[in-house]
Parts: sequence; C-alpha cells; structure tokens
Amino acid sequence: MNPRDRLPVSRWTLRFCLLGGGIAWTLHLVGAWAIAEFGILGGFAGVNTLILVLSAAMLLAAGAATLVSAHVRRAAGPENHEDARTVAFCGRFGIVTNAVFTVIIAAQTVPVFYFLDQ
Amino acid sequence: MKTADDAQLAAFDARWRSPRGWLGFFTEVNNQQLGVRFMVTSLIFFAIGGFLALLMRIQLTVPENDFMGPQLYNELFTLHGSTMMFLFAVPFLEGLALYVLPLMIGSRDVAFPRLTAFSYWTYLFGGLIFYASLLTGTPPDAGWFAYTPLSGPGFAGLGMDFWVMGLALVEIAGLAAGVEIVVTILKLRAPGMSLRRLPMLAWTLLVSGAMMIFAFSVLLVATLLLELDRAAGFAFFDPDRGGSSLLWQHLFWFFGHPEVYIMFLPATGIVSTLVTTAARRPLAAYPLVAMAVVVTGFVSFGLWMHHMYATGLPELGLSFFAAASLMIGVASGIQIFAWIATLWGSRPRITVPFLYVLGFFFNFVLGGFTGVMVAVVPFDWQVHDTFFIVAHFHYVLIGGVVFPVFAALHYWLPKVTGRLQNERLGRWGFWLNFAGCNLTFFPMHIMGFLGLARRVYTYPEELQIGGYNIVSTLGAFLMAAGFVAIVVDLLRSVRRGPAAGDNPWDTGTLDGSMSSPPPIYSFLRPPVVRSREPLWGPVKHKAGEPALEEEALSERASAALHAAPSDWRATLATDAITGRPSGVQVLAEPSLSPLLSALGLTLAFVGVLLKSYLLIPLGLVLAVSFLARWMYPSSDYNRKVYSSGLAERSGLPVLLEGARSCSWWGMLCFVGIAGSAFVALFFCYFYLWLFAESWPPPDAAPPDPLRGAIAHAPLLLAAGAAWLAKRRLAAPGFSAARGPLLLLSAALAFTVLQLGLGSFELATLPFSPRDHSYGSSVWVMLMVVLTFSLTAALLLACSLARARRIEPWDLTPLRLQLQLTTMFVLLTALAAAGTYAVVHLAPRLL
Repeated sequence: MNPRDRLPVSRWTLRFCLLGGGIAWTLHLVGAWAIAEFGILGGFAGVNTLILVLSAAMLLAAGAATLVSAHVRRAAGPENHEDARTVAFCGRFGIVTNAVFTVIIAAQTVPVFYFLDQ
Repeated sequence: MKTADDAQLAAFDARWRSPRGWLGFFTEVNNQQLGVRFMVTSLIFFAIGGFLALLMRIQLTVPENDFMGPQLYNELFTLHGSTMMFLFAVPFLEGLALYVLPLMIGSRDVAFPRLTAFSYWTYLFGGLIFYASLLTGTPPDAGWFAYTPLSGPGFAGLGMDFWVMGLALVEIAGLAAGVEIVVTILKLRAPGMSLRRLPMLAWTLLVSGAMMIFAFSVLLVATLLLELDRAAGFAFFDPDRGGSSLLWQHLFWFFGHPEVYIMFLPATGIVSTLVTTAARRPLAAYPLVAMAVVVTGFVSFGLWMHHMYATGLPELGLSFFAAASLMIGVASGIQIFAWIATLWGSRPRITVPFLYVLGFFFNFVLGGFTGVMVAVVPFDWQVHDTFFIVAHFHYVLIGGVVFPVFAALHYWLPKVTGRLQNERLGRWGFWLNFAGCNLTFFPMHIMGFLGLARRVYTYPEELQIGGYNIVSTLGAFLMAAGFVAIVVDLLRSVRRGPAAGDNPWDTGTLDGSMSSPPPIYSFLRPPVVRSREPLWGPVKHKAGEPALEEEALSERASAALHAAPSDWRATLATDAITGRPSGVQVLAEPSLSPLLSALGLTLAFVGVLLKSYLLIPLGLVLAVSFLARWMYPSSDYNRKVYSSGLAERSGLPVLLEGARSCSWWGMLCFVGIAGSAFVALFFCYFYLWLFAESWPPPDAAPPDPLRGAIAHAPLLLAAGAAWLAKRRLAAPGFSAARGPLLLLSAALAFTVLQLGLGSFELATLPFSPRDHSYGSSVWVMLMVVLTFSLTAALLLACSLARARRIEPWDLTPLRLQLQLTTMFVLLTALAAAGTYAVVHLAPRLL
C-alpha cells in the first residue's frame, strides 16, 4: 500500500492548510504596496478602493485557510496513528498560523480607512 | 580475532572516510568536515571585522580626533559591516547547520554533499576577493548597504567592484546552502520524525533556508545590475539616464531585512534547544513556537521599507510596513514567552552556554523594544541617521545572533572535538562579552538622542558626549577581551580538555546519542524516532496499535541500510510531512569538481574585475564543464546500486524519482531562486517606468511584438515536447526509447532555434542598453531568457545523450533527469512568456 494513501486529506489540502494564510498575506502586502506606490505616483484615483477590495479578498483567502485547517484537524480523527497525529498537528498549526495572518491582514488594512478622505 | 561485523564496519568506515592528504582536503564533501571549515573561516572573518570595529571606536573615543581621516573611516565601517553581515553571521550558521542538522535529524549526511563543497569554496573565494579590495588602494567606502549613487561608477573606485563581485560569490554560496538545508530537512529525516517531531532548531533552519532562497536571489540580481552599471555603463541606478537610486534601496532592503531574520531565526532555534536541555523538559507551546517561526519568516519579507521611512515614500505605503513591523514583535514575543514557560519552575543548570542564553534574553529584548520604537514612522524620522539606530541593530545582532552563536560554540564544541571546555574561562568570556556589549552599545542610545550622527568620522566637542564615547570604547575592548577568552578556551580545550562523553549536556535530541566526536558517517544504523526528544524516552505503543506497523516498516528499512553493501554512500529518504521512509537516497562521493567549478566561477568574476574579456568565458566554460561532470551520473554506479538487492531487503526503492528524490526538491528550490530573480527584474522594469518621464524614451521604439513572438514561441513548443517526452517515459510498460528520443530531439531543436532567433533580436534592438534605463532593462531581461534557454538546451542535450541507450538500471535516473529538465524548460518558457508580455506588449497596451 502506498504510504500516501493513509493520509485522511489530500496533499494539496495540507499545503493550503500550512501555507495558505502566509501566501495570502504576502499577496496582500505586495499588492497593496504596489497599488499604493504605483497608484499614488501614477495619479490613479481609486487607490483606497482597490486596496480595500484586495484586502477583503485576501482576508477571505486567509480565513478560508483557517477553516480548511479546522477541517484538516477534524479529518485526522482519533489520534491513535502517527499519520493521524501528524495531520492533526498540521491542522492545529494551520488554525493558529492562518488566524494570525488573518489578523495581520486586517491590522494592515486599518490605516487605509485613515487615508480614505485624502 | 576480527568478526564479519568488524570487517563490514571497517569497509563501511573506509567508504565514508575522507581521502587523506592535500587531494583529500580539496575533494572533501563530508558535512562534518565542511561544517567545521565554514565555522572556522567565518570566525576568522569575525575577528577581522571586530578588529576594524576597535579601530573605529578608537577614532570616536574623543571629539575631533585625528587618529584617522574621513575616507579611512568610511572604508572601515563599510568593511566592518559587510564582513559581519555577509562573511560571519550567515556562514557560521550555515556551518553549524551542516554539522549539527544531520546529527539532529538522524541522517548520515546532507542531501547534496558536493553542493556543500561548492558552497564552501565559493564563500571562501568571495571573501578573499572582497578583502583583495584592500590591494586596489581604493577599498569600498559606500557602507555595507552600498547605496547608489555612492556605490556607482561616478563615486566609488575599483574597490567597490571587488565588493560587488565578492558579494555575488558569497550570495551564490548562500543560495546553495539554502537549498542544501531545506532539502535535507524535508527529505532526510530519520524514520518516524514527522513534522510534529521536528527539533525546533530544524524548524528554524528550514524557514531560514527558504528565506535565503528568496532573499539572496533578489540581492544577486541587485548586485549584478550594479556591476553592469559600473563595468558596462548601464543605467539602472543613474537618475540622469532614467535610472533610480531608490530602486537599489528597494532591492537591497528586500534582501536586507529578511537577512536579519535569516540570522535570527536559527539563533532562536539554538536558544530553544538550549532552554529545553537546561530545563530538561520539552519546549512549552511547541506548535505555537513553530507557528511563530513560520509567521516571522513570512512577515520579515514585508518589512523592507521600514529601512526607507526617510526617503519620502507615500504615507499610505509606509503605514502597511509600520503595521507589519509592529506585528512581527508578536511572533517574537510568543517565542520569548514559550522559553519562559519552559524554564518556569524548572531548575536549569547554569552552564556557560546557558549564560549566553540569559544574555540573549536581556540584550535581545532590549533590541526588540527599540525595534518597536523605530517601527513607528515619526519616531524613526527623528533618529534615523543617528547612533540610536546603531545601538538598536547592534543589540539585535549581537544580543540576538552573536550571543546564541557563542552559546552554540560552547554547547556543540564538545561534540565536535570530544573535549570539554574550561568552565571558569568560559564564564570570564561570557561576563566580558555581556558587560562589553552593554557598555559599548547602551550609551549609543543616549548619544543618538543627543544628536550624534552615524557614519561620520568625528563630532564636535560642543555635543558634550565625550564621556559616553569613552565608556563605549572601553566596552568594545572588553568585548574583544571576551572573544579572546573564548578563542583561548577553544584552543586549550582541543588540546587539553577533559573527555566530553557522548552527551555532556544530557540533551534529548539525537545528536546526544552519538559519540563525541561522531563517526564521519554519523549514524551507522539510522535511528527510528518515537518522540520529539528521542533520548528522553520513547513513546510506548500498545500492542495492536497501527503505530507498531509503521515502526516495523521503519525498522526494516533502517536494518536493511545498516546491512547494505559498503561500496556506495547512502542514507534513508523520508516523506516531507509524515517522516515515513520513502526510499534510499544515494549520496555523492568526494570529487574535485565542486572546487574546480567554484574556481571557474571565480575566474569569470575576476575577469569582470580586471576587464579581461578572455577570462570571463574561460571561467564560465570551466565552471559549467565541471558542474556537468559532477552531476552526470555514471551508468556503472546506477548498476551497482540497482543490483545491490537493497530494494528487496528494505522494501524501498533505491533509485528515486519525482518527489521521493532529493534532486526533485533541489530543482524546485532552483525554480524558486530563478523565479524570484525574474520577479525582481520585472519589478525593476515597472519601477523605473513609474518614475520615467516617458517610457520608452522618445528616441527608442519598443521591440516589435511580431518579431518577439517569433523569437520566444519556440520555447513554448520546446516545453510541450519535453513534457510529452517525460510523460512517454513515465508510461507503464515502457520499453523503447524511440518516442521520447524524437520528442527530446524536437525540444532541443526548438530551444536552439529560440537561441538563434533571440540572439538575433537582441543584437538588432533599435537602442543601446547604455543610453537609458529602458534599454538596460529590456536588454537584461532578454539576455536572461537567452541564458535560461542555453541552460535548457544543455540539459536537454544531456537527457538526449542518456536516452539513446537505456539499461534497466538507467531507466529511473533517466526519468528523474527528464522530470528535472522538463521543470526547467517549463520555467524557461514561463520566463520567456512573461518577458514577452512585459517587454513587447506592456509598452503598447498600458
């Protein structure tokens, strides 16, 4: 039997659980900065709106990664098996990590509201 | 009387033992030997960098001192900063990782032993080139950050070229080490060491290695662009010709800030290991600490602009980076609280390494606090160019990196030498360093507030900070005395120290199970791991639990490898997440090729320095030839491995392909490096466009889209053909090589066609790369695509040559080679498509 078959979730689900929030945060930061830098200097009027839309999308992505992590944790089932324990660990790790990235994205979005009327 | 076991052990030992004599020195590929070389070399550079710092402190002791002039002072702080950042801290941690990682994760060696050797030689040659700048009479003087235009052709002399080329070699060494560390941790762990049982040092090194891959590739691009400006008259950083000085700062700090965490994260891994050992209990909140390490790794890439608050960037942009700068403190705080929780209620042994950990807590927390202060934009504006910043980053780097490095030296040196150090001398060393560090750098906070500017060789008496500076200089000499005490202790212990025993600190990680010093092959029988601290008690499984079945598989694989024939080197490969055995990874043997390819690369770089246009191609050909020789596997070797019977005994494949193989992961890392480099180039293009008055400039028409499409399209066809060839070769029941051969030939032909058409397009561009930054950007992107095409053509030619005659034992290695080649050709096609869109379409569409 292929050892991979023992995992209760797919490899892609596990990867999203481990890295989803981090990637969403990266895209948010780079995207928001690029919009701010290029948009403001380029004279584009809708900078704030665009950043808010991007932030909402990335918040959703990081939130989805948190939910998927919770699913991974549940799918691991009773931890009487090393693979199940490992998957459960990944789930717990993903829940905390992705939740933290969700909070960071939200925190980084707050300053945009300060600049909304400018 | 010798038993069969003794004879087998002797043969095994002989197979792994490093060759003797000078030839052995140059062909060495063993992780332990190379790890020690990395650490010793970096400590020598540390001593030199420290000596330069003492000279600067002498100059600053009293106001209006004439011990040295402004030019020498500029040169000294440039050499000091560059040495400490590039030649000491990261290489030391690379060396430590090379030595300790395999012992800690239960592997016999690292994933790519020859790449380790290549990394060491390029690092050494890079450091030597860097210091050879002293011979030019114009050493680099633009700071370790080399801001343009100070580092550009108009201001800096030949020494700056030495700085750039030496640094480029060190970056290549760092990239190689990053790949090595990541793949080793992901693939070569002991059976049973799942992600949740990974030692915390390995977690930190994994994240740090991944960061090196992305950060160093961007710096490599930046330094090569700077050298193109300097040596070939390109215009990337020249505002008069459409370039931008701020572009350099963006590229440099995109590397420079993660660089701090590339050093700091492994240091926290050292601290976690030492805290756990001192408290003799598992690390508290392990999943949270692992999370904090990963979050720190990500967020550190989002902080580069907090080095640029004072450059007049849009406030909205600054606010993102201020928020990220504050948030990263949360991740660091989690680690600090986890360490406190681990120590809480325990009775830690206050040994010398643990003293350094306590020193780390004090100094790093102080440096962290001032870090939060300077993350606040208006505060940073006030203190940006003052000694307050000097104090902040020295508290972070000395407290957060050098103290853990010294702790690691004391902690693992008995493992390396087999001898204990002198406790008394060690304590003297610690207190001198601790007092020296605080006396040197704490007064700098106050001096910064009082207006002492950094990077200025003297100050007027009216500032009334002479007293603080005297204390600061005294502290610097105390630190120097502390370092001397460490070195004396080190040398003394190697000769006369008492025997250390296998586990002098009673650590719970696998390195404590080895003799001191460990055998050259580390583990004769790969261990099976049952808990996070394997030496502190394995988990007992109940009869009938599925876990026992997994252990049986691991034990079988481990026993089979133990009994394997000794005429080749191998270790167990495991699954990246679960830690289940997934195959037997054959490891490379000693070779001169890594040294010669590093030498070739160095020759090419020296050719650039000397403007010797014969030396450049000669060096490159030498480098590529020996790289090819080192990587081209011999059919005879494959046969030996294939027919060893190990696959049957272990129940695992011995010739690996796909994600089971280290090489596949290595190529994935390389794709990450190349991808980051390309993204950096695209960023340069659009950034310059943003600030340009017109893009392209009025006298330069953008390249023709139709010609560009014709020049780049063959790469898409080549990628398709290579992918189909890979699919055909992977099909079950494959016997004839005809189909893949034809497809490979087609892929090669398309790639060669692109080389021809692309070269023609480049040669007939209607503008010069020297006239304007637009021309420079376009030229470099097209050139990089051509370089990728050439590499793809070489890889395809190698695959084709091997596919012509396939023995049964060559089939899996050929499949692997084709998988890697296809991955690279796909990357090349993607890069070409991206370049086409940016260079040919964007100026017309946007």
